[in-house]
Amino acid sequence: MRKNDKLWMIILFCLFSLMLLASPAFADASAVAASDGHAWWFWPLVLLIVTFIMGVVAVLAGVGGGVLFVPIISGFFPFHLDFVRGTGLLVALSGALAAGPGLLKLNLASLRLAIPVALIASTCAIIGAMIGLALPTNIVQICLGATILGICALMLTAKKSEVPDVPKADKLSSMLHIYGVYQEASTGEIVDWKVHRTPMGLALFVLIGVMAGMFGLGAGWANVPVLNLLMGAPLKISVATSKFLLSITDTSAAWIYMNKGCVIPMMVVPSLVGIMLGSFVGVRLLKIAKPGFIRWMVIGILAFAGIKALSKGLGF
Amino acid sequence: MPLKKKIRDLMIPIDKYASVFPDATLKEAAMTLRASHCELETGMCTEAGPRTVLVADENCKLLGILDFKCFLETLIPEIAGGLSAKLSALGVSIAFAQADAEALDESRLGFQARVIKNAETKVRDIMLKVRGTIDADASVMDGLKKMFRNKIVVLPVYEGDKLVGVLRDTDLFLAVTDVFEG
Repeated sequence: MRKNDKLWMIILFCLFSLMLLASPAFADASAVAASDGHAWWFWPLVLLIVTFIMGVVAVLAGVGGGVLFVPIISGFFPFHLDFVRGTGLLVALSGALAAGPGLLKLNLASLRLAIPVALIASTCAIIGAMIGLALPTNIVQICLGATILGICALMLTAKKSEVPDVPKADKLSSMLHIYGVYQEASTGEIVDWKVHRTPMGLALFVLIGVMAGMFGLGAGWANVPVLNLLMGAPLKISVATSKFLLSITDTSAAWIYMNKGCVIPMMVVPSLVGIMLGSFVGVRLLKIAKPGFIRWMVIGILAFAGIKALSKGLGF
Repeated sequence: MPLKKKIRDLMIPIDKYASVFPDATLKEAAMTLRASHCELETGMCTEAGPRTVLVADENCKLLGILDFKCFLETLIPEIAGGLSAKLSALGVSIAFAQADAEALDESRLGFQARVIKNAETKVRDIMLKVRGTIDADASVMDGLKKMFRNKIVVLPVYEGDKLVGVLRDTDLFLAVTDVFEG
């Protein structure tokens, strides 16, 4: 990137930050933060530290940042669920946007697979976001709790298949030209892949899209099993396409939250910085060791957060 | 007088210069550059061989240029790449780690495997734009001005619409320093 491009990016970032800081949502958040007896910087600092740790843990445990962010911040912090979901979407989005170009360049994220799925998932994410913001908070809280417990069950039970056996591509996937080739870098082997059960997969993306928009969880936890286990895309392609898919799905839903004033810079900026820095550190740590207990610990925390969300929603 | 020479007297004729098609892989381009660079190095040891490869289509229309930096930035982006390449590589690693599939992350492969994989990149995706050309009958001073104003190290040389050679900063250096030899 040339120096001028970098300079323009910094200027645009500063202008965007100024616009957000000048928004009424920012003023509201400052007022709320100041009124709870803490200095204005208290909660952003706490968020920065917590999300940094979350970023490290997410990478070590093999879960997405958004999946950890929404349950934990909504369960244990005094922020309204709408703001947490809006921020959660942007947290998930930041990881997807950081990875997207690289995954496309490596020819791992498949546009042929991503585009039809993204069309459905992003449309449903918009609907999900609208439903999520229209429903009473306690109902959303109950649904969120149930979803988090479902994610825990999925994390405990879901298996992965590196190159699933797809005997024959179905008609819809052939019509949409959903197939591809990639080279396995470790062996040099050329892997031809195709998918099956496309109608069922696309139908599930309706649900995934609605849930992604409604809860701001990101959706990698659901995308990968559907693409890999149900539709039969190789794991590498599924992971990469899922991440790329998030950048489209979450952007669609994020607009709704932004439009409703649920994206507060006081929450978003420290959370994004924290989670990204944490993820960078996590990746470095991962090259040295991967402590197995962290995944179990995360499942435990998520289960606790899910139960807490349920009890909050049910008013216990 | 050395500075009265024309560009055509200094340039490397196009048939002696390395060139590849835009759909060639980086590996093919690298092998072409290695061959021409080393060939000229051996033959004309005081004048360095080409440090760039031209990218041209079937009609000999020049589309771009590849230099050593392009090669290294693509082959080892985690070291030679810019900030965005490094962040992009980190983003990919995070994506695989968060999906509990870090073993599939190609950045964990050995150096050789990564270089071989990255060498499959198509030339058209990384080639540099041609920033300026020069006429074969132009003077050395014109060549110097164009090269320094455009901050480049090679200038494609044209005769009318036909690409006839390449002028390098090495050639201009030799032309200018010829004044010391009287």
